Amino acid sequence: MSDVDHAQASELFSSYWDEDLGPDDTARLEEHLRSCIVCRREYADFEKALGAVGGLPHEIAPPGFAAGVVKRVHKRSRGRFFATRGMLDRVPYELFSLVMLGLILAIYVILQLSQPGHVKIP
Amino acid sequence: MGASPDPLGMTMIRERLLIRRLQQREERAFQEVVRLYQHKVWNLVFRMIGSREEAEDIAQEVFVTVFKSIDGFRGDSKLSTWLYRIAANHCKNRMKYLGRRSYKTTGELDEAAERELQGAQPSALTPHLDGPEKVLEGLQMEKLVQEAIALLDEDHRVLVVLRDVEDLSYQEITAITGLAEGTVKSRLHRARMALKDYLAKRGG
Repeated sequence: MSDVDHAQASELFSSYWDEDLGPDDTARLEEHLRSCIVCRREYADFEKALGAVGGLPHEIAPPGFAAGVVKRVHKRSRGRFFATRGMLDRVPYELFSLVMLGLILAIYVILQLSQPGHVKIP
Repeated sequence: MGASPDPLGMTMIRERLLIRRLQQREERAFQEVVRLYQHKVWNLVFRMIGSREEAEDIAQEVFVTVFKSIDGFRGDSKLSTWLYRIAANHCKNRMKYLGRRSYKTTGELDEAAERELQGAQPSALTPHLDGPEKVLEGLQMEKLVQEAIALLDEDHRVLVVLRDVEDLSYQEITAITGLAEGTVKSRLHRARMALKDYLAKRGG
């Protein structure tokens, strides 16, 4: 593949690295690399660089990360993000408020009925 | 000839069930997603940004976005693809923001050295068995590579991280970025050549 110049050869580096080149291009590039010291050095640098990138350690999330996410979601949504839990899982404030309203209404009616000047409708 | 690892598509079924539970705002499903994907998201974000402090904030925001937007997830891609897309977009936005503020990451070698001393997983760049000099060499190389990645603009950086750090296929990368495969390949080639030039100049 002496019909490939340096620029054309370097254009093929990525595909060659990914093993994504067709057999003809692979053969042409390999032949060029055998005969051209400049491109051989270039490809050696390319291989080394990508080897180093691929060799970066896989970082893991710090301890407490998951708990931090849950806390952030709760905070951001003021606790309303997740589905409301059933009445038995928490203090039933709705039930309390209904009972209290009923009680107040009952007291009011009783007081009204027990007043001396109350007019009874026949 | 090995059998297919998931002949009944159990992974996909499990994922669909998980998504349904998420859409029903089930807190346990939320915790499961964070547990399953936290390290993938963390690694992507950290390699894109290069700072642990920023990475923690962004990675948490990724999950907040996931759960805010889960109703709009139609399931036409894998959950991990969708997560990567959200993470990549958050990183790109943060990079633009930090770029406007001329933010520079510092001290990552010190952190890496500390991690090494604390007995974290050795990597190809930080071999444990060859003595302290080799370890230091590996850590310096890690810093150099991280610096080289940080010099790329956000469109090129995301491709390097997805392909060469996360080892994703081109098909997955096109699904994440929304770019045509040819565009991904040509941009990635330019990014790789820039990395090669930077590392070769600095003896990496």
